[in-house]
Amino acid sequence: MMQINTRKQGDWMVYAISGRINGITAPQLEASLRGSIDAGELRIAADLSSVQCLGSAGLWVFLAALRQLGGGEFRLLSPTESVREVLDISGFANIMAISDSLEG
Amino acid sequence: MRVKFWGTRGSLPVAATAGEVKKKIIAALEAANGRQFTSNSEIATFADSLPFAVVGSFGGNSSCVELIGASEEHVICDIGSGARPLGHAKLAAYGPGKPQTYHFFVSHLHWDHLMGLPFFVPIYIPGNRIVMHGCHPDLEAAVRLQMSAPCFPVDFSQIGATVEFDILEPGRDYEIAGFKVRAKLQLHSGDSYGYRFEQAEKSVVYSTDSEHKLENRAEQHTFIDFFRKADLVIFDTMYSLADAITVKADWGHSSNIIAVELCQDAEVVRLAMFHHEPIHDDAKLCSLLDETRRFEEITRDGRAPLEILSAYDGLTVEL
Ligand SMILES: [Zn+2]
Ligand SMILES: [Zn+2]
Repeated sequence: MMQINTRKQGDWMVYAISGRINGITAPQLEASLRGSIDAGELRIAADLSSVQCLGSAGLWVFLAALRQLGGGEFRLLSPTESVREVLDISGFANIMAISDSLEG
Repeated sequence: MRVKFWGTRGSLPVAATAGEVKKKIIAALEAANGRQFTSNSEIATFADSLPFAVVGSFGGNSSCVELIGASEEHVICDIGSGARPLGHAKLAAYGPGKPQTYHFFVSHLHWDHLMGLPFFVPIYIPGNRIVMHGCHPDLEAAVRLQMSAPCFPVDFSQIGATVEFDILEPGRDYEIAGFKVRAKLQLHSGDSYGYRFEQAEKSVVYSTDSEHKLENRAEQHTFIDFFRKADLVIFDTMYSLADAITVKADWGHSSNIIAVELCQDAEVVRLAMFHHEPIHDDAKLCSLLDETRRFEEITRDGRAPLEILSAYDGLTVEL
């Protein structure tokens, strides 16, 4: 339903997520992100280029990560068209850093 | 069963500003595009062809929704400023010679949900019977307070109708005016209550001034049960999801995203967006409706489509 692959890219920890982030899968993503943050990661990016479906449960996980990172950085990478629409409709596009690459 | 919306605005009644009226006139003139009209009826037909945001309006009265069922007794959710035109309509229909019974179901005691009562003319007519149903033990005290000096010139003790207060217990089924009614506690400052009404195999849920915490999934399940297979859910969509869980967290309201998700999970037939943010003009509320429909489409995932409308003052929905 949802798969997570993590990789280090410079000082970023990149979460490549695929599938659906919903009420069932979100807790797994949340636990994994919290683990990385607890382990001291300061810059985390969620690569959404293979995410087909995103709802409030996933958005909540992103907000939780952003808050837990405090002075660190959380970024959403390359959302698909429909996920980008959800980010706009929910107002998350106003409170999250969204970009197509880690530069800039 | 029919549902008529008399007031759909959240927090405070509003009126269209001069700027909004001008925007509508400009949009109408642009749409006319130099066209010639030979009669008033041609103008009216053209006006009717314009988009809702140009020719229509969501209106600005605060919460008041009428449920029209099989009983001759009137059933109304909340007594916001929309109760004023509702009272006038009832007076026009029944006149002072025909005593009526009005059942009000009060979600909570905030101003915007009670302020219409002193302007609901049937309360001044002897012979009418008003029954106020609610779950707040201080319902009567709040109603009396609002109609007492120095808040209002007519004291509650001077109204002509008889008034009864009926304190309901959440989670229990009641038979009132031909409806099966059940109340549910909601998260809101000072508590609020949603109501589920059922009659002749049709069901309506009135759920406004209700915040949903994303971290509390168990609470969300209780709402899915409360909304289950309803023909219409009237839902507080005042804020965007991002606002509702950040800058406006604990303000007691919800969003279109949560509305759609709860209704999808509960297999609801139709969702009415309600308790509109006073700052939004008609164009903004129309674009929020479009976005909400789009979100439902994106997240439908093989389920039956959820029909979505945005309630406006004067709208009647047939179930
Ligand atoms: Zn309200
Ligand atoms: Zn309120």
